[in-house]
Amino acid sequence: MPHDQVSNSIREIRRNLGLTQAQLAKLVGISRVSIVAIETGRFQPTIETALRLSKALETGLDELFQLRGE
Amino acid sequence: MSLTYVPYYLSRVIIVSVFCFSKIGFTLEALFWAIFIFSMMVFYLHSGWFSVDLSKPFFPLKRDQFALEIQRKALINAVYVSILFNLMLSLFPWVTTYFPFLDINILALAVITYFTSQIFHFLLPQFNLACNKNNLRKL
Repeated sequence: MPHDQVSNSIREIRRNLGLTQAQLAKLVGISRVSIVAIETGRFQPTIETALRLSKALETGLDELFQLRGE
Repeated sequence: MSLTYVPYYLSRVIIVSVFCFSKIGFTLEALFWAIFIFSMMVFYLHSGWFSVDLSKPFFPLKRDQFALEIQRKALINAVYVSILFNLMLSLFPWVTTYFPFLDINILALAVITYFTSQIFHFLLPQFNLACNKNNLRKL
């Protein structure tokens, strides 16, 4: 189910770092299709996965995820 | 071919062969099903749908949170379809006379629904991504 209230900048940050979805998935320890689902907003990661993403992308959580309208 | 996955391949060949040949006998049909099921297992390993944990060479596929959510949806779909199908056959038993293809085992229907539903949900985000890329190209 799409979560319309939360958007994320994972794709842009990942591309800026030159990482593929498969490479990011390996760094975070989840599947490639999960990265696709998170990037497209179809799936909201748990706090643990969000923190792993934040660490892998060397970016703060508030930069990775934003509430829409803020 | 990478040697990393050899334990997985070998164990699956043995399991699938034993299952198909013991169930169907030494026939071409059994060989067909063995190849088909083994192909699906290889596909699952390389699909990117599951995370791969190489510290367990015989059981490397690991369902993450997203995969577990999809499994839950697939199970619910399978249960619903089976119940509705059973209800339909109870209310309208004559349908199988006119539509012989509906005369199937409910367990088989549940299994088919489970896997179809799972594949659909795994493909959906990738399909959305492809659509978004096409939309971006149009802009």
